[in-house]
Amino acid sequence: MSVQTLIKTEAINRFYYPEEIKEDFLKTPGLHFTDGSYVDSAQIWDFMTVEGPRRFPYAYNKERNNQSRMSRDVRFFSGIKYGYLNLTLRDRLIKAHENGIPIVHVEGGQTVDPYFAAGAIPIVPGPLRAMARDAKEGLDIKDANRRAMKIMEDGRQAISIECCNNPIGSIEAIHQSAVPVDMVAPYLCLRCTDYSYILEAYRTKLKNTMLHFVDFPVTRDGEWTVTYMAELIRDLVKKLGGLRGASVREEDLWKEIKRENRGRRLARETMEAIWNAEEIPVTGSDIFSIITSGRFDRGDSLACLEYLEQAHEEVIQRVKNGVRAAGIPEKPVRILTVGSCFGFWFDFAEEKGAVLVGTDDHLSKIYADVGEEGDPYEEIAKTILAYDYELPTEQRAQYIIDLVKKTRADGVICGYNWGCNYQSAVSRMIADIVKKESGVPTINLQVAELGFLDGNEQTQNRVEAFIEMLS
Amino acid sequence: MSESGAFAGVDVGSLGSKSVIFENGKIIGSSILRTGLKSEESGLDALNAALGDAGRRREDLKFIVGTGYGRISAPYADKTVTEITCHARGAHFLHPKTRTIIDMGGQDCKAIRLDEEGNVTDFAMNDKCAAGTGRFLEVMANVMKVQIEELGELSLNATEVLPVSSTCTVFAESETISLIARGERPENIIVGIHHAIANRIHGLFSRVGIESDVFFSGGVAKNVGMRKALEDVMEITLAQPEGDPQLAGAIGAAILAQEAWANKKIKAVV
Ligand code: SF4
Repeated sequence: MSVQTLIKTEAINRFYYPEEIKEDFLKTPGLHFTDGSYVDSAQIWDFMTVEGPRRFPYAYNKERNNQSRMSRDVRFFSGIKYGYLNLTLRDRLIKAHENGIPIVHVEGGQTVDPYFAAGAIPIVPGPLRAMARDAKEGLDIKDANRRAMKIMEDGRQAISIECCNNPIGSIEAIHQSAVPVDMVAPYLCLRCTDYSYILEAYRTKLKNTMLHFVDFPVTRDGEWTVTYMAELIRDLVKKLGGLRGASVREEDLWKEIKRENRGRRLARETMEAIWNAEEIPVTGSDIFSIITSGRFDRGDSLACLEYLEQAHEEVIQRVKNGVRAAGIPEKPVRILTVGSCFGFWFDFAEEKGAVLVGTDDHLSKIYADVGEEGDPYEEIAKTILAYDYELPTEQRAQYIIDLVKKTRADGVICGYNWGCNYQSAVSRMIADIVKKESGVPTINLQVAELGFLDGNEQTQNRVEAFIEMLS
Repeated sequence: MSESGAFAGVDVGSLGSKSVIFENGKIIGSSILRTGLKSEESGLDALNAALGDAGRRREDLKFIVGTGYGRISAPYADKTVTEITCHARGAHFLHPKTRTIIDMGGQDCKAIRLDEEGNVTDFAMNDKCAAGTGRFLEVMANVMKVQIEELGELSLNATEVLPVSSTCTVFAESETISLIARGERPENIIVGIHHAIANRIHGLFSRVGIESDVFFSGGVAKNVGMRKALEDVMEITLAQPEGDPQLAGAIGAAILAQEAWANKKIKAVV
């Protein structure tokens, strides 16, 4: 292939926000952040059209394998703002860290209210690994992927070849100081088997980073579990406050709980409007952003809340006007995904005639409000213990059956990552129960590409065949 | 439904590239070639060979459907469809009573269930390990120092089935080497290898279930020893279609090409 052809291919594969939407975009509000700063829509536009493509070219690559592609529905303006939150995460966390805000590595599946309330920023493995990858800028998809894989392989060599990609990637990223993490403090909830590797890493990789595990009474049998969990959360909050030399007041917790409840409520209402609409008003990529923002995973609960407010308004308007989002096929096959840390290729699925309508893991978080009266620690504890995703497998399957009805899903993809022992043990059981009791076809997939940007043809082949079967 | 004109299906698998030309509801040409390093070229070679076999030219084709792992590099195809859907349609064409397909290709194995019209109703796949695939047989033929085509016939002369593990090609290979070193009869080892694959495939069906008639498609379906091992282990009788089971995917693709052309015409009229 000549140099000329390469340049041409590159240009074709690149995604740009068209100038003709700029005027309308600039009329929309910007985003406030918890540190008191504000970015207006003009600043967001400049970043997303000039700085973003220069610093993070991979995110603008249109290759269908690219899991980190921006939503192609450019007229859904909140989606551009989510892209901004995504691509600026690293800058914002570095700035926060320099200003004495503790950055805390947590796992998925936990309510993050106490971390934000204590003035810290919780960060789950996916964004953390992405931040480490983004420490080197200017990479296109192949090189960005290679960098992400190199970080994971370095971690794997020192920790274990049997571990899923998430912990090894994040542990290695912390070890290499590619991300400024002050403390590792996850809950020991049921979903994840790889905490043991985090512990293991303290022998080799994380000697100088604070560790604080929050126990999780998996039996959830009775009042004592609430009191026990509440006590653990109290300790955690104290420790987090201590990191910045401040004590955390109950009113700080209430303020954060109320903010996050509002965000969760907005995320739920937005999703319910999408599920009940005649036409799917936003792309799978935007659906995923709405759901995950309801668990405040982009480093700022206020900015996530404002994104959700704007997304909610846009979705309601689109539903009212019967708008079908750009790229969504006519009468798409509706896919619900099930499982932890399991990615999905939104654009690929849409090209093949399907759309993602939800994921059981993240949806369980937006359906878990924290009570706003009584003892805030106990209320947080009750919520943690009530997560649908953490229920015993048969009950979790019932939760998924309810979601099938709610989302009007045509098919369920149960996925688990290689190395994820717990999910691999339950995934097939769930697929079988859901299929038997809901009558909706299910498929059980093991995937090995967690954290990769591309190179997942085998998984796509199965997903594509599943979509063909349902079409 | 039979549309006038010629339609092609091209199935580029990891070991073999197959193509079928369809006209007036009949197969008028086909080809099976070894897949080379470039799947686009392999697909085109297979297509041209099938056109030659049919006595047709590229311009005669109204629609081409690409399938198999090589379909992601098939610019010659008007549409691509997964091999699961194509095998179902192809098996249904070759043997309409087919309700279950065992498809064994070079790099994966699939359990496919279908309805009376040849539509997929469920499937399961093994593609994470070479155990249970055509590649496994290649490795084992190499260890046994025989041609892959000879394996099936040799296994029919076995006096007992020696156990070989079904979980991993590397383990199975070292077990086989130990069995040879122990002086076991080669035929008994070879039948053990076939049974190991059959065990693996049987496991795939635990989720999707089995209903008669069972059609064995893919290149390995021509191996008589493998057919027998599957019948013994799974306690089934495999269908005996007249056509070539290795062409099932390409046939299905050609049928889908014809249907896609018909739909396109309907849309144009509407
Ligand atoms: S894939 Fe499984 S083991 Fe790995 S981080 Fe996610 S839940 Fe934990």
